Amino acid sequence: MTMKILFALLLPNAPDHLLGDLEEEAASNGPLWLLRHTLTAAYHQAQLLETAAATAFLLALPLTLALELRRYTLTLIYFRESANFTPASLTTLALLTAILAALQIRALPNPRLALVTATISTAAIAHITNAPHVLTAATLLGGSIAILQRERKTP
Amino acid sequence: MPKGDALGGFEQLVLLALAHLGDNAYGVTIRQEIAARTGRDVNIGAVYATLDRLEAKSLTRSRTGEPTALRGGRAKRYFELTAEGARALEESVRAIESMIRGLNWGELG
Repeated sequence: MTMKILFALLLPNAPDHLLGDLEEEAASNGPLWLLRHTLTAAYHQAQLLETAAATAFLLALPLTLALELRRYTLTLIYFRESANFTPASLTTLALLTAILAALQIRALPNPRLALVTATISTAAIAHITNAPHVLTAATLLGGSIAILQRERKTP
Repeated sequence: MPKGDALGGFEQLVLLALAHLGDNAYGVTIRQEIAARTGRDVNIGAVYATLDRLEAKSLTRSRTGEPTALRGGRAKRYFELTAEGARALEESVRAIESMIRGLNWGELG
């Protein structure tokens, strides 16, 4: 089950034989081996944006979110009232927008259209939450680099 | 092979692994063969990226095998050298052998 979730997050479009190889070797190696090789395989499959978002989701988001929830209970309506973002709250928002962008790029058939919708949705989130628009610029830049990288690697 | 298409170091290792493995060359065995012989922890993604590149250059070809339960019902993809691949590998290895000949390792470094 864990392996299926890992593959769905990190290698959504990978060929069957690659997933089969990972599953075959996972039987004789530990979970850390599987995570490391799946992450590297995702890099070689040129799924950079998905890898970045999924890695952030798997490793950083639960911790950051827990800290942010604790803060939120202490300082209600923190986002809307203050433009003075802390590193933790900005990181949380950046991770959320990165995941949102990755999901859109994965869901829509045309990656360029997905990049446009991801940029617009990030701009809307930044506007609503009063976050710095550097997030919007980062989504546009990161998404463009990821798409160019994919087009370069795909024959 | 046209000038400029010289084999890279990892491409040589992958082709040599195919030569050793014969009919049983697929992702897992290729990765393990290179790891066992070189001591390098090779990633399966790197192996497939290289195999795809070699196939695009017509130096290897592949076929799909039968799915097995151990692999979650997924099929293997078997690889083999083409005649052009074998020739390119031989040329490449001979070039390295020629460069090595006459070296005194004790005097290096």
